[in-house]
Amino acid sequence: MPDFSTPAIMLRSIDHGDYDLIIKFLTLKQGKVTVIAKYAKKSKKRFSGILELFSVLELVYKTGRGKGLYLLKEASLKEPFMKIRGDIKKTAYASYWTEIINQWLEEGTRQESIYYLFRHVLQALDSGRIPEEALSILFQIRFMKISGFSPNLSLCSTCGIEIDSMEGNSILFDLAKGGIVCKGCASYPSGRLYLSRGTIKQLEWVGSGDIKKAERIRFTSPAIKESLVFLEAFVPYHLGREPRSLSFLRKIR
Amino acid sequence: MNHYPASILNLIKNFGRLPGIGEKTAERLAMHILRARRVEAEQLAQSIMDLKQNTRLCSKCFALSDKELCKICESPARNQSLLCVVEKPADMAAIEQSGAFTGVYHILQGALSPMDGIGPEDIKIRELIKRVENGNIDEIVIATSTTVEGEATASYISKELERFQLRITRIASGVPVGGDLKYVDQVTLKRAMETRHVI
Ligand SMILES: [Zn+2]
Ligand SMILES: [Zn+2]
Repeated sequence: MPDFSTPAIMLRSIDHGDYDLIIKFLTLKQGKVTVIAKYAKKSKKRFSGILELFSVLELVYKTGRGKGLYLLKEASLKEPFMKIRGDIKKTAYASYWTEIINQWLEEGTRQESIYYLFRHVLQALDSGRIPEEALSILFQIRFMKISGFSPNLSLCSTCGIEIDSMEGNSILFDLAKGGIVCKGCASYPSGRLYLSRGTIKQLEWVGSGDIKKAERIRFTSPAIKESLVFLEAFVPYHLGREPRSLSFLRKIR
Repeated sequence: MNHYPASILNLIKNFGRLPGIGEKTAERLAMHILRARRVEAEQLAQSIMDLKQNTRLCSKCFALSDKELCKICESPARNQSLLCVVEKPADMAAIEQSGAFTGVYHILQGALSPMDGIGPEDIKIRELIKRVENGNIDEIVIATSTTVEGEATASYISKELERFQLRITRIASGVPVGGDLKYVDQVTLKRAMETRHVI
């Protein structure tokens, strides 16, 4: 089988015996892949300490070696994102996003827009040009949109009336329905959150259009809080389980 | 293999579970024990039992010890106001072997790892802060690893210790002696350059 080369972001690394590592990457060209890095734990020469979480690497691996486990042959570091690992809060956010990607994506399915989104938020996180919270909102809303689980923020999920025809400033969001509901359709109170109209508008802006423009949108601090509570309930609900990094994040935030 | 009696097969199986030991080596070790004098075999068995029974963590630094306090914490020759924070007992052993450090240690028993759900209360950070609160410590050397988890742990600890009047240092991680520069990653090289010193 031929060697395959692609840019990739490291998602997870697990010890395999005394010498090897089994590593999951989000690659640009093949989506999520699992590779084995032989002697990576022992030999400094082979991968020389560059196989670290969140790093952007250029990989060369051999495909077709058994199902889904490729043999890593070369790796070179493109972007180490040193400022992320030097900061516990940044590390916690990056870990949360990584877990979402790792849990959601299927192996071997090319997902270029998720790759670029992930690299973009990691770069922004490393540079410190945007607050971590705002980046996490940007990542989550766009990730869900690309994955086809965009929250419905414009029409009642039951009767279809428009948000502008709904009463009050607080709009009910039903997790199970994946969208807002009007007062008339609100039934039993489970899995529901409230979002203010202002927050809904900002979420819609941040979730669409050019990402560089979107990241410049300044949220008010109540809107940040409301958006995080909302997304950190909405995303795990659709993932089917709560990422471990999320409880870590809550502890240190 | 099946021609061996169960008692030998059992030992081979148990040796085979040890790290780095394959079936062939396990078989050789078992044969060695079989041929050895009875007292030798008993000593080996006893030392394994002792290890499991008597080894605990030093109540002060969490190093492996067979008493309440480890040898280093007890030693009057060690500088008790200089504290080196490491992740694992093996890291402490490595620093001890270098002979470069004359202070005492604090072994965290792990590193923070959001994805593994390992938070500040899961490793010995609270105990570290307590040691600092109790006074007598002038400098903390953070010697956690340079992995993402190790760096994040170092960042967390230094933030938590900000409020104390302390000198907090991070060990310089540089180019290995005799190391070929082309094998050193960019992160290490950058850091080595930043922490360069006059010779
Ligand atoms: Zn309705
Ligand atoms: Zn001790």
